[in-house]
Amino acid sequence: MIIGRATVVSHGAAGGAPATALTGVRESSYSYNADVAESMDRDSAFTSKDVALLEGSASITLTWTNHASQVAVLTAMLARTLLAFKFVDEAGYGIYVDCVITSFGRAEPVGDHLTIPIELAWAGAPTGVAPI
Amino acid sequence: MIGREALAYHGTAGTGIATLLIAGVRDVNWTIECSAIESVDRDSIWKTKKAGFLSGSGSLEVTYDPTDASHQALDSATEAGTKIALKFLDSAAGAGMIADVVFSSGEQSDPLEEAVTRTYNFEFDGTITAVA
Repeated sequence: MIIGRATVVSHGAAGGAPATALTGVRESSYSYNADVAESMDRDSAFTSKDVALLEGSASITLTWTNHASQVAVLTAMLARTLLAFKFVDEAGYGIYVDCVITSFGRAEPVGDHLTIPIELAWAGAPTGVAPI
Repeated sequence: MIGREALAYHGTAGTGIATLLIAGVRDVNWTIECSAIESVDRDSIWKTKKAGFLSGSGSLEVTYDPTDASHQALDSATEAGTKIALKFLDSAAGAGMIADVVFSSGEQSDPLEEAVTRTYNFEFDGTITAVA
């Protein structure tokens, strides 16, 4: 079993492999979705399906510490600049992909830590990461 | 960083300055969003995306004191439908953001055995600036 707390999230300039570790990460996840084109006609008994298009998204929740790696995400968003994000699990597998930062929030509850939810839309195809 | 150490300020809209501390703040939440402009053509497998418009919204809950000047300022802007500048920092010398806002809704809670609270829900108007 590999555990989530060992997953490393990094970011960096779009177009390359990220190298700056994002600090304070609590939860992270990513997913992809296929537009599945379905076909059926009068000759069909079963529906046939093809993948038409692919897209992906990711979300991160972190504990805010005002670390430079966290501030960089907000700065990039306000500049509408793409950032590459990398997610590598404990076993060394993962992906990196350029992302549009679609949401950056900050919860400031009086009796708890400041937390930052971040939503990302993949700007294109991801690149796989495997252990060297 | 704990929410109770965070600070909220108000000021005059359009100035980019908010130095008047808001009293009695409890929970604050704010979120900046960026639309993702999608591009797909016949050369596509993965949908490509670019950053679009930035916008945002949030909420500010206070232990309500109708005699407090900062609460009166929030009430005045709410009742007149006018803009006001809000700034949220994680600490006195910390990081956060500043923007003009319009108040979109609000509510007052008058529980039997708890303090009266008032919540101001707002939407960011125009430029959102990070404060480092």
